[in-house]
Amino acid sequence: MSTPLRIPICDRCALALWPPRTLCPRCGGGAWREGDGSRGRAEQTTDLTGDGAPRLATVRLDAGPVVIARAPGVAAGDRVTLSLDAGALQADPDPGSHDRG
Amino acid sequence: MRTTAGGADGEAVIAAAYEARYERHPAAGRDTTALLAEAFAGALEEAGLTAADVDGLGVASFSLQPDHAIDLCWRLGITVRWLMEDPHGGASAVNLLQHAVRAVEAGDAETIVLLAGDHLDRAAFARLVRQYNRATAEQLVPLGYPGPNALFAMLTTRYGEAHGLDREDLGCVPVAQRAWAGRNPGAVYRAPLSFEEYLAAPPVATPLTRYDCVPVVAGADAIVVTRRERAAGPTVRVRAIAQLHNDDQQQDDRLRSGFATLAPDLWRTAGVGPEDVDAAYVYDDYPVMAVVQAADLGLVPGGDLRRWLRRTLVEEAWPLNTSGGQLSAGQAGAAAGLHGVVEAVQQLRGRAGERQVPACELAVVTGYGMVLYRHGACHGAAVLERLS
Repeated sequence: MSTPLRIPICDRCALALWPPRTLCPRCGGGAWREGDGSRGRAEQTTDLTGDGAPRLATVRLDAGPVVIARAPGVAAGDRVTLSLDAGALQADPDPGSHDRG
Repeated sequence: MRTTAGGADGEAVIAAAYEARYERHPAAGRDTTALLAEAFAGALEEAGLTAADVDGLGVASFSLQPDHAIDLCWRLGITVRWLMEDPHGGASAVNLLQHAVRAVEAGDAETIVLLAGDHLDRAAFARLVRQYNRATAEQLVPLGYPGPNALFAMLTTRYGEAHGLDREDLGCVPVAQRAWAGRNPGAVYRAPLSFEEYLAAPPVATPLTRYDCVPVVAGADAIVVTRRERAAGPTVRVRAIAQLHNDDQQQDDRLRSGFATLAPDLWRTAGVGPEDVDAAYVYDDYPVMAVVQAADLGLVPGGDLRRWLRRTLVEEAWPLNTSGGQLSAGQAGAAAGLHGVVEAVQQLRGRAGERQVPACELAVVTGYGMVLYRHGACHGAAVLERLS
């Protein structure tokens, strides 16, 4: 089952982070609320070799954090939607965003 | 043996260095402890000292577990009053060196051997990659992550695009280093590497190919840090050490690394500049990282990367990673950081054989590593000087 990515946001200074940390690197706060982390843009991709090897992408979330995600069919520059699928962060290209290969 | 600190007037030097032969497929029995013991004995012999002179030990190894530094003391039969273990992979050597120099200067120990080595078989290596840290196990492994090649592939793309460098530009690092490896009997890959072969190599993680990734080897390295009056022959002084860890919380693009931040302090403390060094040893886990570090340390005149890669490294064979680096000599796990220090010391002591850099008096060496999520978080650098 896949769910849109929710990310921790520092309760005190509103810094958004992914992956989660223990203390906020900006203000030292340790209390978190959840925010939307499901929208972003793929910056680079890499194709791994071997049977069933995935394409991975570096994705800059609209919320700020830069994350690593599995990215089938994603090209650098694509707008993507991020979801957690059985613990794996997945980026899927938004319809119409895919302008290359 | 004294067990309290005292005599804080000592000048610490690196008296000797030694590398226990790197091998792709070591014989049975040449396990991690055996490799570390080989490096220990070799470095002491080079220094003209014996195990009885040693009163400090520092070690870095991924595969020593479940043993620790104290188990190693027991197996080596040495009694020490200074003991350290550093789990920070490629960054461990510079960190251990900083502590060892201070300890000898302060009188906490008189003769310290720093060791690093690994024998990781296929299963142990796979386990290390999967369980490198919690973020790797929780965030990257579920993606089908095969190891850091994927992350450095994307950093390579990012850096290449930002600086207008193509595959052949970045290939100058492995090609130039392979030429040095040809003169190093200890390198596991010594045959010349042409640009044609480099460009035709099979992909590993696009755009990286086989020659952009380090060969995993079994091996170990060692240096001896002692008071100057205990050392025989040419010795090496540490002019400056600077470190910077977790400076970007894994959020930066790393078009400039932590080395750009620590470089001004490093050179100011050393009292010399990057233009003064005769050789450089940058942590070459990937070609792009060698370029990033050289640029950030100020080793690339005018920041003209392409000219530095094609002309300075390849055509003029400027002494960068004169062992062949990890890319050609091999990466022996946690020894990768100490490998560069050992080669720098061999060059500065005039012990580098066929690949000796003439009049090598000043060198810079880096440690880098510990990928937390996107890239290495640990940066360390030392400026080393030959004492005559």
